[in-house]
Amino acid sequence: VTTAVSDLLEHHSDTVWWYAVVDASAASDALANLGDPTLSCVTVGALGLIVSSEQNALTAVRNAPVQLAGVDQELAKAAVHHDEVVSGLAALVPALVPIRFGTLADSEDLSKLSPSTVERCSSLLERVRSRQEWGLRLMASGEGRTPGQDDDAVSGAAYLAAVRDRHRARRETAARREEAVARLQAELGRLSDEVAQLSTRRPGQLASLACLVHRDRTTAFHDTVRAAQADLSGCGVDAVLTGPWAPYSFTGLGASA
Amino acid sequence: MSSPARSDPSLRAVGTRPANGPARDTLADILERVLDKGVVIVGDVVVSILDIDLLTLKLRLFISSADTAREMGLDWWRNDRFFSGQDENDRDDELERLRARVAELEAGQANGHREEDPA
Repeated sequence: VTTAVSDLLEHHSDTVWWYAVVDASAASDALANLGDPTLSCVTVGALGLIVSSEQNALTAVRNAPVQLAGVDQELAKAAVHHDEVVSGLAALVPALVPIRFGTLADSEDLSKLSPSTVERCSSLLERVRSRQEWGLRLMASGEGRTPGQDDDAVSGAAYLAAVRDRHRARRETAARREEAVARLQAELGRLSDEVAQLSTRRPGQLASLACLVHRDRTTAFHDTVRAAQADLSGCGVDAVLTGPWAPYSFTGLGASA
Repeated sequence: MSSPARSDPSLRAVGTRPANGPARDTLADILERVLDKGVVIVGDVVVSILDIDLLTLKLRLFISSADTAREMGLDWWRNDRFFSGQDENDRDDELERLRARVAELEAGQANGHREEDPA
């Protein structure tokens, strides 16, 4: 990996780090407001491709070992920086398609994007226009105290009764939890233009959702989540909201461009 | 860059970033989003967040022009056993060879038994 990326950096001084696609008409104002002199815009028709030739992120990738045990600080910093640039731009423009971390391009190639890629970028921009991604992670927060759990059962019959009560309580909690999650998902579906299920699994995670929400519905979305948090906590579910994000989960452009 | 909602405690949004670096959940959430799809796989990155969450994330590097990449010798992944799956193919071949050898030995042993058995 080191050799390959080093060659790329040494032999192609025009290699750029690609952050996002925006409307070309909004690019210059956004870049001026963001105030990062390393960023520039490659204009392709109505599209503005936001890139940087700044080398820190490239160096972090070049130095990244193939497999990392634990957090690689340089790589983590580069990923956070990537998101900061993308999120900063997203807050300044009406529509932005984020490019995945680690997307390098030759600047000459960028200016010669194929018509189908340009069309796809334009279509994605319209899909996410005036919208933000919000993340909602549903975590099991424990079973809570169930009847009989701490009772000092002195007889076999009392012990079995306590076990039976515990099992029944767990079933009831699980059923309430499922109902509450289903209610929340239905509500989010009503308020969101799209809802995606993220695939990453963490310990205790019941679901991880990404919601594409029109900016006009942000308050209603937050109110719904706030109400759901109270509802869900009663049945052992912790609902953690993240965002706003650039619409990473609704574009996936890095693969196909 | 941060929005008010990211720091609204009543919503328990976790995107706030302390001065000494990203919070655990924030970093995990960022990595979950920014390291995802791509065409040319550079490496599989296993990220352990404070030894609690173990995320297997793929760091992918997209080169805009495949021809440019090949001109520069950036087709190493085709010959790299780790990425090309040749190891797996080699293992399958080895397994086939071993199976054939075992069958051969079993057949020889069975023939030997028949020769030793006068009945």
